[in-house]
Amino acid sequence: MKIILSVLAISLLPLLLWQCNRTSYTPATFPETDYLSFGSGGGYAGALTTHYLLPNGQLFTTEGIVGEKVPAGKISARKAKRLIQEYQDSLSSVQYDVPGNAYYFLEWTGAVEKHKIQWAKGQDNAPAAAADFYKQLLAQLPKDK
Amino acid sequence: MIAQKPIMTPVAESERHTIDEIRQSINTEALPLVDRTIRTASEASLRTISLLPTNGAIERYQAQPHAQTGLPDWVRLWGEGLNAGDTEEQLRAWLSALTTSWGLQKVDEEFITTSVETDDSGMEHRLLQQYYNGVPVYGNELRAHFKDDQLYLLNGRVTPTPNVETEPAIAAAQAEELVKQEVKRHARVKHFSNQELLLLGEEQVQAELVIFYADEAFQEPHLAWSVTIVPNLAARWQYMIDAHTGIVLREHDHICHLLPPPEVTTAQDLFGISRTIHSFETGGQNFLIDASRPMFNAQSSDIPNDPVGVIWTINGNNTSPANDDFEVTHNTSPGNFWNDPLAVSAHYNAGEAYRYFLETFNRNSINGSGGNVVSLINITEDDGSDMDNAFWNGSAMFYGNGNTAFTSPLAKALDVAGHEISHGVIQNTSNLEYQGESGALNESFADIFGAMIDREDWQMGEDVVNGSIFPSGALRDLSNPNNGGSGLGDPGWQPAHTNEQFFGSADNGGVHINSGIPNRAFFLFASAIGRDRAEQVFYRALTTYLTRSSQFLDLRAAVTQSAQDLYGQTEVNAAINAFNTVGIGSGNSGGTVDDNQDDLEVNPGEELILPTTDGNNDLFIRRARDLSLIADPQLLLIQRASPVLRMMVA
Repeated sequence: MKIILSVLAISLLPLLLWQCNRTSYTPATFPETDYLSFGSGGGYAGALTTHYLLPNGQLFTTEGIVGEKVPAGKISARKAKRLIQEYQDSLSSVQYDVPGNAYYFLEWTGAVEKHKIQWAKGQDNAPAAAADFYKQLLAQLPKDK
Repeated sequence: MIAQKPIMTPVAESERHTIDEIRQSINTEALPLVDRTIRTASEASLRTISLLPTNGAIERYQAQPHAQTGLPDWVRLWGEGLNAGDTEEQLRAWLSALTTSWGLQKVDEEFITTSVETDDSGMEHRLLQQYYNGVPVYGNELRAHFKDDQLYLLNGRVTPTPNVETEPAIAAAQAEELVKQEVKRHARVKHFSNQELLLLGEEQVQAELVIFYADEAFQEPHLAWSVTIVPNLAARWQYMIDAHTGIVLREHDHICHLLPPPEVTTAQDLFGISRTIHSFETGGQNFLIDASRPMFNAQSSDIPNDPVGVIWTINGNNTSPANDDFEVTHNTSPGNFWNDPLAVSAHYNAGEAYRYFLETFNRNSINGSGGNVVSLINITEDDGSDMDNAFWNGSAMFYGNGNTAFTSPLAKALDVAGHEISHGVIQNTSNLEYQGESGALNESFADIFGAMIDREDWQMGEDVVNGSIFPSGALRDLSNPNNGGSGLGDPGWQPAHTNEQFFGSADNGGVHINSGIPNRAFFLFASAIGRDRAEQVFYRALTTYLTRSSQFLDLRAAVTQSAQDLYGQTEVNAAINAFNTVGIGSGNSGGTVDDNQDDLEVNPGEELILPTTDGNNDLFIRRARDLSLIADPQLLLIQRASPVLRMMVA
């Protein structure tokens, strides 16, 4: 009996993992952790736009300080994971949190800790890798966003 | 509220405690520095009593905890001998009296005066730097204010004498080499020619030994090399390198933005109003460069590409500074004829903002010393779309042409220009940090001076916003921060009182939201005493008293102090009323807490202490002689308190 259960568990594991990868979120079921957020804000208008990238490739956008998350398209889970991995490999050690009057930001919200990079708009001395990565992320958004 | 002035028993030499114990004694965990729910004088008084005991030298005091360290700040002292002798002697006496409260060991060796200024009213303001073993403690500056040669106020950041070895294990050259490698992660490193070094006016890499606290709790002092590097002419970075281990403690950019050489474009007009503007003619062309102001430095100028002391309007050609294709050009005309309404509005408004600061405060331009006022128009978002915003980047104003929230180019409105140029003034004075309440103060001062420059109403952006989005027809309203909305998230809504304050993390702690609270305080203050006086008081508060980390309660203290400096009790009372109305502090003082209640008659009985636990959830009665006051500062000592004590615990 034990052997049968073990075989059953092992055979179901890929199915379970596959199912996990297929989990789709709505604004109401948006996960509390494990996502990358990026965006810009500040200036005279005090505007704030936040985009969210989930490991499964889903994108959401929030306008304003307490705006609702609105689905904003999807990229492949593989690409999403690659981008998140790139952030963790290349940027998670960057300690740079210097928002100006208007600013850009990248933020990883993990289960254990958060890591944020912010830099001022219109200055030449932002962390180059962060600014480049930010542009990569923007390019994942639907063209009308 | 306590019933009686607290009495602290002097501690014998043998019973003195370590710096850690002193730090623990102020109980920063129980009273988090960011806990802005503690705002009333009566609530703050418990902390103050713990922080600054009266002793042999101090008979009476006012103080409040520093926003970052929790140690005494905004200190006023009264006592025999404290104001005797010349200014130097008074300063020494005050610092000596504060030795225990600040946890200092050799106070005579720990402060050096770095600058002395006398303002228009004859008051002297000294800036002191804290040192340890001849090494400056980074960021620890103290301001000492004298009136009629009498020291009356100390404010700024002081930390206990650090326990750190001040002999570096790593040489300056090693730290510089390390930084040269590190900065390559962020910026292109250029090898400067001799000519470029001359232009730079300093070494490309410079190192200074400092004591640096890398942690927000100020618990871990490091001996560090503060290394400044200019990797190329468009960037400046500062690194903190541990001088014992070589670890990078912090990396930080400094603004040093140089624009690409401008090129030629055309210009026109916006409101339909005929404005008098100034341009500069050279080489048969006119440039939108106003060299007519008193700040213009003809000898140092190379017009059109390197003017000094001018108001300069540049075209961003619908590009974004974030992109490689960012293209800026001069606004030009083949004669002195301008037909671009947008360029004219930006140029005129920048001139009006410059004139306001010069004529109202005798401030010569944004940096106070005749620096250029630069506006860039036709700026887009990164994706090329119309930018629904305007911003200050640390050296210039950038204007978008509007998209959804704004139906007109933002350069059209005088209050937008006033707001943005004020950010530059703030950066060059108190340099309020874009985070939390200090960030909200930064935004608020920009709105306040913006509203004073565009003086006809209290609204911001009313000439450019989309009225179908903002119900009041304005982006913000200093007289009514709720601005037609009902709560957070409604377009244009801001809190009007601290009971509506936003405490989330978004927007760096809601810097663009919470500015509504001090905005309204200014409106109430100006309504009571007039705009002319109110703006003078707030400008003095910004430039004389506030520091990079100042919080709302610091603004209250700074404004009331400035009102006292410039005018009198009527203006002080107006300030207190304004701040009380918006919930920034309470009571009848300027925010500092005093202990000048009349002494009550001594009640015969035993000396008891009421200790509390963290969180103040429990209260115990203990005999005073059984306890050390320094080690247990949360104790509130009530002299001969029998049989019943009345007190309030924060």
